[in-house]
Amino acid sequence: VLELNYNDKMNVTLAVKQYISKMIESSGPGMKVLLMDKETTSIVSVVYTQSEILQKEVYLFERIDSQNRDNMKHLKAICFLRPTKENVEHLIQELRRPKYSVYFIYFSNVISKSEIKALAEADEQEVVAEVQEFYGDFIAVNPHLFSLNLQGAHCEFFLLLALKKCPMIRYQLSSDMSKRLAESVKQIITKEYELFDFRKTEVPPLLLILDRSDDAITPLLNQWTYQAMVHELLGLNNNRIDLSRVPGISKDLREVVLSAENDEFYANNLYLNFGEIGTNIKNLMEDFQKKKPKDKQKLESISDMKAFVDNYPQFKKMSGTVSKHVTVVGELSRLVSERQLMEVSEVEQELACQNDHSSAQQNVRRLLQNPRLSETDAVRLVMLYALRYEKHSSSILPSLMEELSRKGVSERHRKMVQSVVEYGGKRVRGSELIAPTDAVAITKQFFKGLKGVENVYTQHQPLLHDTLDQLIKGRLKDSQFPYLGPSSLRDRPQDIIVFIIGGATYEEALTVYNLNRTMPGVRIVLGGTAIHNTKRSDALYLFKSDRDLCNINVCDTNSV
Amino acid sequence: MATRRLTDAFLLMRNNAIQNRQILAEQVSTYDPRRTLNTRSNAALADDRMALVSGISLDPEAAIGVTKRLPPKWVEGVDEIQYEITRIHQKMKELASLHDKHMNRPTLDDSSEEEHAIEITTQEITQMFHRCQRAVTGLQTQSRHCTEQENRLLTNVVSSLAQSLQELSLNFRHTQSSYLKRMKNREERSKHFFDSGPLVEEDEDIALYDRGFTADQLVLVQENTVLVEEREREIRQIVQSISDLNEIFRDLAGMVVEQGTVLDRIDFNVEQACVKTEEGLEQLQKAEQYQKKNRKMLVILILFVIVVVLILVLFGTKFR
Repeated sequence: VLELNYNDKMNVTLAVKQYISKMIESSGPGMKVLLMDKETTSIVSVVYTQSEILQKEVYLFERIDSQNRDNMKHLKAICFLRPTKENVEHLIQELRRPKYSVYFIYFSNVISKSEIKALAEADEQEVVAEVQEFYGDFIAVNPHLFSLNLQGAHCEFFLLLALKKCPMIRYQLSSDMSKRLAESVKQIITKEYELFDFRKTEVPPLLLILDRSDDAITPLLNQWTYQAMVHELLGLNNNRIDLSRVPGISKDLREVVLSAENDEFYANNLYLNFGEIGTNIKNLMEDFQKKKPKDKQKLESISDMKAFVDNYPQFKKMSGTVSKHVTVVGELSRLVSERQLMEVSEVEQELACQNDHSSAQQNVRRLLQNPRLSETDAVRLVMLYALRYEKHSSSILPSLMEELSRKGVSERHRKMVQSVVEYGGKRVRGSELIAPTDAVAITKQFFKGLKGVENVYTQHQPLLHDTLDQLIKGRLKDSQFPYLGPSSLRDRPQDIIVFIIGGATYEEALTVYNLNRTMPGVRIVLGGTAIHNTKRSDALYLFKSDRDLCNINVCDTNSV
Repeated sequence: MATRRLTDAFLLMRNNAIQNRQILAEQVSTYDPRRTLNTRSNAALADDRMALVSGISLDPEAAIGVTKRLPPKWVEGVDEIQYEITRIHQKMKELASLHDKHMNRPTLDDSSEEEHAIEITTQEITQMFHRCQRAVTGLQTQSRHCTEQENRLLTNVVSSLAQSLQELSLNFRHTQSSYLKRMKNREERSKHFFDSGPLVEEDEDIALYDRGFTADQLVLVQENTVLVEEREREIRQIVQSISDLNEIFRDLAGMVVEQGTVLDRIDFNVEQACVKTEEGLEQLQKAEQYQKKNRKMLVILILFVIVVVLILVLFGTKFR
């Protein structure tokens, strides 16, 4: 059930793919080399596989900063680079002593006139044929989800160019950073008004800028849908997963790729929950076995399967997919039972969604006393408790902290409890994350409790869901989310781009996916400075003391 | 998707830069060195300026770069294979139309001409596949004569060609098997027709009296048998070509990168390349150091021998 409502106009994967195709096709026939930097390599790798690009006659992939590249004058060079000082310097060196016959240069961002002059002066051999700006400066994780991989505020608006949107801007009043970002985006739109001169649609698109600190709970929760779960427990790094530490892993599977573009099973399952995935994998295996020719031997054992695959290499791809998913799901399953994640998740969800303090504190205590509880999960539980019952009269936080030190949790991790409250506590938040105060909200909560919860592990809805729901129905309060500038939308929004400063989560991506699916006429794209799992969240909270955008760069820069 | 073209601005600036360099070069060349005190330093200065402004660097490596424009030999092989692939494509289209004509023929009697054409075309295509596959394998062996980076280029080219060939062979296989199915269906239908035709006696009573075949019936039986045999032969050939294709597919599989794995990721391969280059550099550095060490040892040894010889000579002269 992919791509249901994803009109191509609001599809970030397609936007990046189109940029890259255009780059390659404009350079004409002949053997080509693609010159990239560290970031653009990731940008290209998540949307195009190597075999796809090879078919376009791009036969070599190099980094602009790699030394000692051979001269290969029979190749044309397509350069896709971020216009940083280092890259411009590297390019200057390259143009002075060109290794390839022709250079087509594409910057992923705006480059200054003086830098172009420097390049022009360096091009003594006159090898440059094209210099253009192609604004593909973000990682397109899913068609409606992008990440900046922490490259700084200014990159965000280039997504707007990639999607050809000149939006109205609404930001989160309670967050200074949100206001600053909104203003800087507005400035750039004004400055580069010719770039933003798109065909006016009936309903202008909307850019909504949010701050992670308004909902610090969502990144701390364990997930149960395939993509989110993999990222939480194993870590998705630009769609790559490192399985090298899995016990008994085979050599071929030490690192795998999970990309909906190229993996049909994954595309159909990334938003389904763990139980459903198990069933679907079983079906996948049975299908796979059915495909064997009927006159051959039965596939009873692994060696039979291997022999069959050797004889029919066209089934190799299918078998590769099957073994990859079987391995990943197997490892997820192992981790779930080793860390007792079902119990942990139950309590997490209770902390995030329910209101019963005595039950909550009992459960947290009980779990903390379980010796098998991992350090990460222990700290997370206490962090959740701290956020949830921050101002509660009978808060047992101090005794929980003692529990943590008794368990031997490191001081660094213990400090995070304090940090998370400073980062995302009541004082900081603009929205009602937890205790609903108005009558409508309380009634809603009451009825939800009556209905009983469908699945206790997935009862949580991120705050984003309510925000977007209100936005779509035209009920998002101006007092909390004001417009930047005098004009405002008269009608309900159609194209919405949401950007979360401080990072988004896969759970929120799932929310956006479901909204796109169930609300016709609305297309939402979500993005953030990064995409969180607990490890990354922890780093975020620890260093959140000076809330300068640049400081978000503390997290590992290589990951989504 | 919005883009911005800076090429015109760039070209303008480049032209300006070229003109500036030329003007500067002219100025330097008209400069009279006799009017200065220190002619040598000024000549050197003029030389440097010439080098800087005229764009002809005194760097010999750059000069070599200009002349080394010839691509490696295997590049021609690539063009040939690509051309073959397009030819295979065309032939397959021809074959498809021949198949259709043959299948849709109105009469049941067979034009052996068409069958012959089909046979020939099928064989040609199979041969072309074999040739291409051998050529691609041949390309791969060229990797021995390449530098590490050229090797990477070659591997990628080979992988891409092998993949195209594999896909093409898959297509061919599908065409062949669907043709086979159609033929078998047709066979069964016509078998029924024949079975329920003149060979079957409608009147059971007459059958009691007439156990043998009439002459006409005999001819029919013979023709039918011949037909059946021919059919079987055709079918066998198609099955043979399919199994040939399987072989080709298998041979190519070794050269194709498995799609969907991390080996098919650009960033993974760039990382590997960096690692290899670093390792290569390390090896070079180690070798250099080793050589240096060796040289030092050699020098020490020679000196030692000289000292020993001199001592011997000294003692020799002393005792004489």
